[in-house]
Amino acid sequence: MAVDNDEVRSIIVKYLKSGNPLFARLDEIPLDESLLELGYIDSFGVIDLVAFLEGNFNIQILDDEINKEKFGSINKMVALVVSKS
Amino acid sequence: MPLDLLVSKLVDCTNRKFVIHSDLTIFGRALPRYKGYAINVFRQKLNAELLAIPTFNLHTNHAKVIDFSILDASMGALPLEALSVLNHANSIRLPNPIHSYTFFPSVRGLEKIDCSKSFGEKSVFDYFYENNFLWVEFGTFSGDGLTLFHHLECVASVPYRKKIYFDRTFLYDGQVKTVAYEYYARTDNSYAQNFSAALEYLIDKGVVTSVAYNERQILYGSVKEISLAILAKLRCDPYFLVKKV
Repeated sequence: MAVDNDEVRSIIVKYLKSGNPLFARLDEIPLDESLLELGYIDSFGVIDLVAFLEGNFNIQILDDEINKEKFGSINKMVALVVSKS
Repeated sequence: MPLDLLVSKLVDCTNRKFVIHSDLTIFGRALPRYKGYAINVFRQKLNAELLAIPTFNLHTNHAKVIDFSILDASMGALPLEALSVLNHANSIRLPNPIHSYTFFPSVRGLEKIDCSKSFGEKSVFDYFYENNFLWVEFGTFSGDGLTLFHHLECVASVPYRKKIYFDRTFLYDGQVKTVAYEYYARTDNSYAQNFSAALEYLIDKGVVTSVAYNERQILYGSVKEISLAILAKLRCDPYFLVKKV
């Protein structure tokens, strides 16, 4: 199933907002910054997000892809999901 | 898993005092099974005589009363785990307004650490040196967590930083206290931190060991040996830990 960037971004943001009151209150969503470094999610939250993306988009994300380079911001997550869909 | 890999590398190491900076996503999808147990897993697997976890207060100001029962979420998962078990374990979070570490267990001697400063003599980093801790960067990126280097900049009196003092107020043990906090602040903004080069030097010299795991790395080395190696470099080149911007 092919998906586009906007659709994936919207689904990720909706997921983060639904489970994270801090994130839900944000006026501006940080798309290019590390959510870990900003303190919106911790490592457990990152792995939860991996599981969500795998289930939602029927893809597999490898453990060695869970890093700053490929998973370090919402836009990087979007690119990873789109490349696998 | 990465912790077992570290344990296997340390099998001949008699030093069992650890300071661990971490990014637990290195565990990958195995991570959720450690939620609520991470500190105990680290202590048991490493057979740690003493374990220090950074529970820093990174967003402080003079008007804010720091509550040591709360931790800024940006510190990450292992520090949050440390704080969540603080009251159930024989442990202590140092009342340092900025560079507060949590120790498992609480031992005699920790009270001698000067919590009114970040770096230099009698600071927590000096304690790590004097007590021969092993510094571990567990899955962090390019030495992101090597706060020890700032302590060494202070010991070496580098020319681009100077001691400054500011008030910090905190709530600890039911009491509100204010301290004049000593910090070693950068004064010259034409230089930026450049820890990755120093880290490469330490790895080349065999002072720090780098272990690859899933495109990530685990780094470890003796605080004493790291300090002596970096201080020797800083004596020759006071700008060894920075680069011109």
